[in-house]
Amino acid sequence: MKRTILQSCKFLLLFTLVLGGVYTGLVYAAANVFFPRKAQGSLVTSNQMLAGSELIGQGFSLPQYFHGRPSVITNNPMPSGGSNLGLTSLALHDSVQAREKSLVKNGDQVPGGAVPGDLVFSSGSGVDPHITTASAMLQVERVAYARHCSVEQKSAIQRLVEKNTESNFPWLGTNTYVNVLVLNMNLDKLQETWKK
Amino acid sequence: MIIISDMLQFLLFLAAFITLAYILGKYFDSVFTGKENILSRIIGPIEKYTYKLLGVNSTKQMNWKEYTWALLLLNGLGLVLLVAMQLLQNLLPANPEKLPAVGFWLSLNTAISFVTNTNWQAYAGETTLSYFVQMFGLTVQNFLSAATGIAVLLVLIRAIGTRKGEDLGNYWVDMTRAILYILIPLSIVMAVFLVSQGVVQSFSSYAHVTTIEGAKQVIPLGPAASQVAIKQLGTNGGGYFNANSAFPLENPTYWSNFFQVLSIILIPGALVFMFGFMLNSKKHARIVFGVMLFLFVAGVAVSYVSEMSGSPLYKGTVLMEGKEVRFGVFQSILWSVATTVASNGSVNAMHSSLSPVSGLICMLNMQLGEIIFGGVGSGLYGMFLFILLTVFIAGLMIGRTPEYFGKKIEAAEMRWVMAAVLIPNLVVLLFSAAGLYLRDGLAGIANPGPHGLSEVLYAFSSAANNNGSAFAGLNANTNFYNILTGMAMLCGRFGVIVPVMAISGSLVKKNIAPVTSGTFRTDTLLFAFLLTGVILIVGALTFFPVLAIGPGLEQLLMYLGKTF
Repeated sequence: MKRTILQSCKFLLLFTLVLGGVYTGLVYAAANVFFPRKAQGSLVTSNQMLAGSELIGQGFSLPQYFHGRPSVITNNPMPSGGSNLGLTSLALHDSVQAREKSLVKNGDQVPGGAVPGDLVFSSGSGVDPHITTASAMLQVERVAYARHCSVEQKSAIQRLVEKNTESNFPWLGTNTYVNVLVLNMNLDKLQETWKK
Repeated sequence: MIIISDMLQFLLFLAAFITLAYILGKYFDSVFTGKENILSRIIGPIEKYTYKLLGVNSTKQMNWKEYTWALLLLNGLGLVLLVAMQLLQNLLPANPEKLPAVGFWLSLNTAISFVTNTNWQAYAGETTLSYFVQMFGLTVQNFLSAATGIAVLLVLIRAIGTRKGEDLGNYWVDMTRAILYILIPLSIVMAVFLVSQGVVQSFSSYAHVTTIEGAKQVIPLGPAASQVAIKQLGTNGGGYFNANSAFPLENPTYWSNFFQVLSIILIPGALVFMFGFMLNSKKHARIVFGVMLFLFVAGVAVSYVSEMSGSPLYKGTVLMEGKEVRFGVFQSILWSVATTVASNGSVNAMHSSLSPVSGLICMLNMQLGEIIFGGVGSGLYGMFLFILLTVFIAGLMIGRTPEYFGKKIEAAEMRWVMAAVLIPNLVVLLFSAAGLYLRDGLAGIANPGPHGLSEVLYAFSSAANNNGSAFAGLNANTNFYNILTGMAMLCGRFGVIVPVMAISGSLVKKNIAPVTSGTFRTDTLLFAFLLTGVILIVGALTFFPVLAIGPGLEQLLMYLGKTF
């Protein structure tokens, strides 16, 4: 019995060091040698200032930007999470209706048209970085108007959305989506080129 | 179009799963039977050195009691160490966010949760635990609890396949091999792949950023990739971050998701093939694998149809509440089924916001005892209980003493089988009843109506079957839930392990009867039907009433357009 206790202690200690230290350290070394930017959170800068992570959705509400998924943690992941409301929840029903109304008010949605699920339902992480390409296209009109764009410039924005589109299976053409933060940063860059 | 694309994704997933599980199964067999394999040149010397360091005599055999004691001691000590780390967190290094010590009941709950391979989380990772505790506490238990599952399975396989006194193997050797040859190599490959997709592996303090529109945002970081890899592979499921694999820094892309959901059932699937190789009974292993696969595919199908048919409250709108765009409906559903058939419990979408029938499938998967692939090791040894039950019932029907691999199944074994099958079920029902009856239990419920009942039922189904996922609206970080779910996790883990060890101790001593024309064969389709029937009947009789008034009722009321 005593022997077994001693054996357990030794085993636990050794493997705490091996698995907690050596294993984690090995992965850390490999990760930071081969993928240094990704290992450190895919951070992006704007005007030499940390402006966020490519993978963490931000709250956009100004009309000149594309808007992302609704978030119940106001896009501040401390901690991350979703609403956890069930489908028969009245609270969920109320917030979906409110979001739908504001979509119509912003001109992002045709009244009575199909409701984009990703724009009225909140995400699981609270910081979903993506919206579907279709949902982005709904917003082009408003974005272009807020930026005082000409007709050509508006179609340039449309092309930008297409260019930023990712797809899980490109040859099937399903599940297409855009990264809202990246799209908005590219949009600002695009407008810079117009000013010149 | 979307349905065709989803079906293609599913076929791709199944093909990758079956192929990899088969290859790994063969490899596992070589590891545990001491055959030469591709890693033995590299890891062999490390293994020998480990035994030297630990003073382990690798040829010494243990009987079932010695083996069980060693197992319980290591688990017990691990629990104490993990509680201590959390209580002393503020004094330990690698805590850049200066997180305070964790309260006693929460740290006890978390420690039980990780030692029992449940990984139920009443805490939020990014705001509760330091890098030190995540690395040296949680990551370590992710490995040890998975290896323990494999060790128990090995004992059972040896008990069935051999007849040499009481020898069942050496716990320290089984653990060391499982960790060095299987869990570490797979985890390293997986972790580096995950970083290539964008999962963080950093020791920096959290990034404080000013967003494009000028708001403040804190981006939590940490050594996540190394932990996420073993969390998926070891059917642990405890997220590094609160939103688990829905959080983009834990699961950033479609392909990180594809391989994470694959890893959930990969080792449990491979162990079924390993069992076939070790006992030289590939056909029986294929039958068991087939039953598991059938129940898994059926679960995905029902859940997917339910989710895609939407809700009359949100006509024509894709149900994206709690889901992430990069995964979409299908990958969220696939994950929810995989994570609940296996005792993983990680999530990439919030289960509480799934359609009621999809939630029901999750609960039923857990309540069947986590045996459809199930946890690493624990899935197959759990399935053995049902196999023995089936063999026993078939034996009664034809009036012969039931046999399995030529070993007579008698009253002593059946008593332990019934204990192991009934303990988790009893805990689920009794504790849920307590949660729904007592004020402290009701206080945690977030959603009113039948969904509230589901929250409590889900919590105890998850805890007692060592799954760890949740209808996370439930406020589980109260003394009431921390203590009760903690007890449920211990009962569900060791209330099955000890009976399985006892059965092994009894089986190993028995003679192997030769196969005759009167032997009831376990490698036929007939056996597959019987086994499926027994699993579903035991689960259904126990849980249908409560599932009917929880998610069943909610689905009907949803069709009527009712909200709460």
